[in-house]
Amino acid sequence: MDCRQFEELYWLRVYGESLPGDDESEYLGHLASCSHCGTRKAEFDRLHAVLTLRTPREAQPEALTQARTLLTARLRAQSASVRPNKRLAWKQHFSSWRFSFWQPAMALSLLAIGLFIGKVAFHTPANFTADPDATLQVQQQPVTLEHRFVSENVLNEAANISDLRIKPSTKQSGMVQVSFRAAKDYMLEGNPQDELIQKLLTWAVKNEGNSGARLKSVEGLASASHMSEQARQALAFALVNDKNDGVRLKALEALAKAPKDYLTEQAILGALLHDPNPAVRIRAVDALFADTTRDRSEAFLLGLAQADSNEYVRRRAAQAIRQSDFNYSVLDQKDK
Amino acid sequence: MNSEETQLILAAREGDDLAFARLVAMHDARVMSLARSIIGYGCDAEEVYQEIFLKVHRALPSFRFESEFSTWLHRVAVNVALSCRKSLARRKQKEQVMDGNDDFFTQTPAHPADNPENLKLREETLRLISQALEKLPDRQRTVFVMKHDQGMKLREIAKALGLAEGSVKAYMFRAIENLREILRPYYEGRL
Repeated sequence: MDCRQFEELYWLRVYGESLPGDDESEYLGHLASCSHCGTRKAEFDRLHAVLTLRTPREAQPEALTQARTLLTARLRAQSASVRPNKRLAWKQHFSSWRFSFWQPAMALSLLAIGLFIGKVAFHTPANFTADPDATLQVQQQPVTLEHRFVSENVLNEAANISDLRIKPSTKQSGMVQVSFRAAKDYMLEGNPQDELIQKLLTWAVKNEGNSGARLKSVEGLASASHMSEQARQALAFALVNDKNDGVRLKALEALAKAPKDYLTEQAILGALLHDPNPAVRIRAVDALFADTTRDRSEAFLLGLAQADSNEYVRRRAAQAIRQSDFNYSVLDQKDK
Repeated sequence: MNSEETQLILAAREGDDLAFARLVAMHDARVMSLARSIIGYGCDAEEVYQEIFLKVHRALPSFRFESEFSTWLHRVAVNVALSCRKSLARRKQKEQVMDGNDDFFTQTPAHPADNPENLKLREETLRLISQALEKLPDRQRTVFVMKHDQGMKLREIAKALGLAEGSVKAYMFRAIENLREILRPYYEGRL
């Protein structure tokens, strides 16, 4: 065995690779006879001791749970969007069930839905019927508006129906209860300042699980020539609560350009004092001090100038103090 | 591969979302720990998670049971993690990119006996090791973290990376040699 082989065997041993019996005895024999490798081994031991400080990072259980939920939602959305030809969607969907033992159940379900919709769509108005029981039955059908909505808006060629379940109605014999999920894709086009677009973007800033989509939504709101109060609130919410540094930074930049109110002011101050990312704090200090009309709390500025861990934030705050009416001799005395 | 896992894979391939969800839950913790070792602090872990398992979902019909499912999964995870590192590096060259959120992972546990000074020293050492690892070429770093962090056998690493076992061994030795050069001033007490 030469010294190079010794070195390789050393690392294979410490990393738990099994060595053939001969290799093990040769390794020990070489170590006993080679002073150079004895010295090398001592160095490797020190290196290995340093490296073992590094341990793998484990995923947080809550983070995994959240990621699994999002994954399931995305897979559902993905399967809903995979429809090569919408006109044939229903046909294709059911053709894949051709050889399934669910076929009779599905046929019955479809028949039941057809009968049910037919009944709703073509029922005679209650006051035209001569049969008092029939009148009663029509009147007892729950939420006719919902039936009409489903008939007109959901059960069309673009529908994506899943999880359909059918069971006898608990309210009246002979009636059935059909439950299902229905998903539909929508697309809106408009200016970022349109009320509906802003509402959607506002919703996404607060609720969308994908950080990239949240970031785009913040950018969308920021690009509006007029930003609603709700939009400013959503941006303030993102600045304070969003887990993603990029989203918080974009929200801050958008708020810095927006008309100021108490909430946005507080959100920017909050970011300056508490945001874990120095880049966000730097932008916050810039945003605050760029506006010369802003009412600055001197005690706050002083505290910030002295306490922030980031040098730029400290310098910028100190500079603002010096440019303002603040009695900076207090600060100078402290510096001494 | 155990029979439960095989059944879940077969069911998931037939479109059973529940089976796929169970399959994911069996493996995601280990897969994400591996991904974290490779990506370091930079990529958004949640996005990496989604990308890995969406890819797995798409590619599951092509899984032929010719290797362990976990090996196949590790291969997907390594590819996604490396691709994330590359795209991050490209973006960093062009624009200011913020680091991803690391809340996805637990903090490195402190030793109960650590006093503040030791803790600081330990954090500094870990930072140096991470910096040293960042200097390694992708293959060396990947092989090293799969071995050192994840405790995988060379044979498993070779299968997951689609390399010969001898090549993996060579990458590992080169990685250690490079780490030795970079960290020597530190562990020899010259820093």
